[in-house]
Formats: sequence, structure tokens, C-alpha cells
Amino acid sequence: MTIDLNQQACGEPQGHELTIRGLSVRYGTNLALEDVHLTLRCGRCAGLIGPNGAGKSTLMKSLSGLVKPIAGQISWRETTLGRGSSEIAYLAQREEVDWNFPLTVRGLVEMGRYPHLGWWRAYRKRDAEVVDAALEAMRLSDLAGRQICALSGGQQQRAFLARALAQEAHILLLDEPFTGLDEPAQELLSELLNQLAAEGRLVIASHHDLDSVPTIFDEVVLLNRRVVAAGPVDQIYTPENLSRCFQSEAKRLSTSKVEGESASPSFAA
Amino acid sequence: MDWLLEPIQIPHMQRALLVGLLAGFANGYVSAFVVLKKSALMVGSLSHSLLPGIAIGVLVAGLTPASAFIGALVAGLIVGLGSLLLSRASRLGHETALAILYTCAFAAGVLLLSRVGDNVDLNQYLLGNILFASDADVVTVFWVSAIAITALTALRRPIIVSLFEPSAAQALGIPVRWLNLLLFGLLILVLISTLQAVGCILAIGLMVTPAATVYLLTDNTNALFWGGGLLGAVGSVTALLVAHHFNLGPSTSIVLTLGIFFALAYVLSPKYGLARHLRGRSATSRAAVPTP
Repeated sequence: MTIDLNQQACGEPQGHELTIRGLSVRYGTNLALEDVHLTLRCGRCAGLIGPNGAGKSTLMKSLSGLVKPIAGQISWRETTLGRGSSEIAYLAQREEVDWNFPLTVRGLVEMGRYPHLGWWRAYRKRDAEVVDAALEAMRLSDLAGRQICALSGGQQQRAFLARALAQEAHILLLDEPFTGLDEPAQELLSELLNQLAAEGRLVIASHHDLDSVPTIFDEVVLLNRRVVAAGPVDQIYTPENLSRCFQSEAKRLSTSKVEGESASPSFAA
Repeated sequence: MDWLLEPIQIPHMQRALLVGLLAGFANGYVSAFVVLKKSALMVGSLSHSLLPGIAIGVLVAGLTPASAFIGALVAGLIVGLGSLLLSRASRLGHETALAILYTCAFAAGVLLLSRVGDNVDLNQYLLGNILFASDADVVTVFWVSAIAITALTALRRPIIVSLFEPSAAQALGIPVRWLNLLLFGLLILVLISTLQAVGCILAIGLMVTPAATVYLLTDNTNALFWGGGLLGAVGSVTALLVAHHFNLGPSTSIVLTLGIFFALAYVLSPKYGLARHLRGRSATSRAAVPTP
């Protein structure tokens, strides 16, 4: 029997909302995020775009509870999102992972079941089935017994995505998942991310290659400490918005709130 | 067969073998965490820093297993946590802070022990006295091993996730910091109980080498724990028997035996051994030669 992972995602793909209101994060004296307002719906694949130091990682870390904001509220399906929720899976940048850890792909994906098992309970048949289905969905069934250090970059990303699926997470946060992947691996990952979103999950990925944004994402968030613009790629991803997002510090301070406004949808990168 | 049976008749060898078996297994098991946490140096430093605690414990309450134990525990905690605080409150790295604290602690310990005089033999603590293990030592080692292995086995799931990926563990609500402290505390407990077996200086070998050896042979995390324990126990008992028959020092024999196991694994491991490494190197250097 196979488990239908789609059923574990949102029943009605468009119904679930992640809402961020007035989020501010401070590191020491440095304000990394300032009054961020954002609403994202399930079923979307959103790209998080912005210059270095714009707070992309910080935003994802606050969503996953790794960073404590000084102000603001994050709610998911109209309830406040606390730390330790298995609804959210955060995939760190590949450099942050100890790839020499003695762990097989299957062992890694099984870790996704831990939140459901607690600290002691043994694996049941259903857990094994969920793990199988996750491996299958990420096209890793053949590699289940392989060491994580023996995977290619794209396979490593898919292994962590499979773990997120095993965790039955609704929101997938990925920090620069396309960095260092060759073209076929990028295409496969892009396809899989869009598939996961189409099944009703919310995928949010930070990204730095501006050219490939329209081919990968259907929604875009332009971030520079504040949200410069957010919405569907064809409306929001314009040269005007991009230059506003990437402008210098001095100009940024004078930028007024432009959320949701759109310019001409004629941008070609 | 006599080779094995004869030493078992002797009461002090019985106790020594029992301590070797228990401490060897507990250390081998714990060494998996040390290897995964990449904190071998920290264990080495801590084993040295226990000395002044033992000296003070003996000075205050006389030479009993309990006084030495509590003294060592306090010293280990002070140096371990002190180095964390020192590195957090200054620009020094954690290892630098630890190195400063443990050398000072060790020097103070040597000084104190030489002052305490007759009733404590410095060598005994540096090199261990497993052949003179008392019944109380056997009981201590048994309980410490049982507690450490039970706790670590029960909590292995969250501990492994937090060792592998602290941020993901934290995001899932696992109390990473508390688990680290617990792990640290259990390491110190096992370390102190091992002091009897191999002494301060050599305790680190017992607490790092077994799992490091298995690490070269397997990719299975479970094998790392139980294999480490098994190797630690087998190595210790073998070394004690060899030492008995050839009249060698027991603690040095234990550490050297484990060292030989490690060397064999390093040379012979099919996947992560020296032979494989050299083959891989020559393959890459061939590939690096530009074709005309």
C-alpha cells in the first residue's frame, strides 16, 4: 500500500494562509527586518529575492522559530505559529550540514518522523510507508541505502525535501536551494518544488539568480529589510520594483510602502 | 584456555577485568557521541582538569571514592562551564579558553597532590590503578555505566538530530541546549568512573578511540554506538589479560591495544582506510594532468 502524501497536504489548496504582521528582528544594534507585512497562500511557490543582508535568511529563520523577533506576529491558518511546529520544515543551506555524519538517505528521511513519534516510540508500519512515499515522491527510492556524503548536490536537496515530506510539513522553507546545482539538477528541483506547491503546500525559497526567477517561481517577494513588493511574478517582478529592492541604503530609507502595487508587467530578464 | 582461566582465579584480576569490561563498554558507547560531536579535544582537556578537584576532595574529606568523585565532578563542571562562559564573554574561541583553564587546573592539581603527601600517589591518578580496584569501585563503575547508557539510549533520537543539525532540531522544538548539557554531564560522569581504570592522562584514549575506529568501518549510526561499546570492552579485557601475562602496565596496555585496533582499521578499512585514500588520491592526480 502506498500513502498518498497529497492528502496530508492541505485539503483545499488555496484555503490556508500564512500571515506575517509587523515583523521586526534585531541582531544587536542592527535591524535585520523592519515591520514586515506579508501574506502567502498554500499552493504557491514563492521566491524570496533581495540583496545580501536584506534579511532573507532571517525571515525564514523567524518563520521556523530559530530567531526571536522583537515585534510582530506570524499566524498560520489563523492561529499564532509557535516554535516547534512540525507544520514547518526549514532546509538550511547545504554548507551548514555535516555531510560526513554517518547517515543514509533513508535514515535522514526517517528523522522527519521523529516529531510524530516523540522521543521514544517505535516506528510503525505507517511511518515506514510515509518514508517510502516521501522517497518515491523525491525520486530517491533507488538511493535510499546510500550515504548522504555520496549524493550529488541536487540529490542532497531532494533528500532534505523528502525529510520535510515525511514530517508532513505544510510550509517548506529553503535557503538558497539552487546554489551550486548544475542545470539538469536545477530543472528537476524546480519541477519538484512546483509539484509540491501544486499539491497544496506553501514553498518559500530564497534565491539570488535574478534571471531564473520567472521560470521557477509563480510568486515573488522582494525584500530589503522591509517588503518592497510581493505578489504574482508576472505583475510584481518588474525592473522598477527590482531596482527599488536593490537600491542603496540611503534611498531605501525614503522608500514608502509599496506593497501590492504593480507596474507594467513587461519585464524580461 | 589456561591463559584465560588462570587470571580469573585471582580476586584482584576478577575485579580488574570486571571494571575493564564495564568501563570499556560505557566509554566505547559514549565515544560515539564524542566522535559525532567532534569534541575529542574537549574530553582530553576535561580529563586533565579533574585532577585538582580530586586533590581538594581528598584534602577536605579524606581519601574515599566518594570524595574523589565529587571533587572531580565539581572541577569538571567548573572548567567545562567556565570555558563556555569565558569564550562567550570575550573574543576568545572556546578551545582557547578551555586550553587555558585546563592547563591551569592540571598544574594546580599536580601541586596540590604533591602537597597532600603520602596517602595519595600521584601516579595512581595519572596512570590508574585498575589492579587495585575495590568492590566499591566496581559498584561505582557499574552504576555510572548503567545510568549513562540507559539515558543516552533513551534520548538517542533527539540527541542525534541535534548533533547532526542543531538548527533543524531547534526548529522542531527539541531542547538542544539542555540535551548538550546533559550529554556533557554524562560524559564527565563516565570520565570520572574511568579514572580508576586508566587514570587521567589515558582516559581520553578510552573515550575517543573505540567509536573513532568503528567510524572508519561503518556508515551505520547504531553500529557506531554498540560497536564502539563492544570494541571498548573487548579491547580492555584483552589488554588486561596480555598485561597480566607479560607483566605490563594495565592502563597503558588498554590504550595501546585500542590504538592498535584503530591503526588496523585505518590501514585496512575498505571504504575509509588509507589504501582507499591513496588510491583515490592517485586517481585524482592522474585526472588532474592536462591532456595535450
